[in-house]
Amino acid sequence: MALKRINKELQDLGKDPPANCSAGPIGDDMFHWQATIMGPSDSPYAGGVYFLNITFPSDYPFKPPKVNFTTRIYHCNINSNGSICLDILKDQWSPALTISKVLLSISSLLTDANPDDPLVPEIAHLYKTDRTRHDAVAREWTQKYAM
Amino acid sequence: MGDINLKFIFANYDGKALERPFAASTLVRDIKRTLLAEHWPPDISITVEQVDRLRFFCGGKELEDAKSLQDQKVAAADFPTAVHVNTVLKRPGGGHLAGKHSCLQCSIM
Repeated sequence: MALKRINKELQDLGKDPPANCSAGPIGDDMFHWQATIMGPSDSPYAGGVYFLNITFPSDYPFKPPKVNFTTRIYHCNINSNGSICLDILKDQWSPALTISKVLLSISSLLTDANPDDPLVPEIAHLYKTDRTRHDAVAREWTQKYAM
Repeated sequence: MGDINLKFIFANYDGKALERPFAASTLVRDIKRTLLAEHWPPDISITVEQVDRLRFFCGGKELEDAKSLQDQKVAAADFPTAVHVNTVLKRPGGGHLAGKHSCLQCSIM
């Protein structure tokens, strides 16, 4: 069941690739993928490329995939371990969602952070109080870790 | 091995894409060279002269310059194989900076 669904998602990604994301299995294990998200041009992550790890649970799509960044990023909803605070990866997951939609949501999160539900409170604080400084630091990290 | 029809998707340039076939034994370095020299899309907002280097991504992996498509398991399918292109732009005074927006902000500062 899970394997069939994952195979279908892989095929759909190939037929209709998203503009900013690329994803696929790392090796022969279909439950373990990697993905790349290109930093959106209207964000301080522009020009950077972010790598992510994806692990599908054995009862996918009834449980959400585990997704985390392996590239460092300065973002209030993503911590230094690469964990992502995003509702659809937790209680708002639905079997109707796909990995393609998850990656698009993460890409949107890069453009519009959610400082009211932060994983890194210091970054959220700077985001709310000094956006110019926040964006400058985020751009520095983009150049240092994602180019 | 035959040709693989690659679909180059220019990330962050309004979904601009172009398709070109390449032999499976072609080195990624040579594909980048060909793309810059012969097939650069005319309707894209950056010129070849502005490009410091290109990065290619396929199936979530970055393609290595010194290896061929088949070495990196890039395969032909019923549909063109997507290759996402990330352009790293030149920056005056050395180094590099990618993305037109960050460049703009850089010149303002």
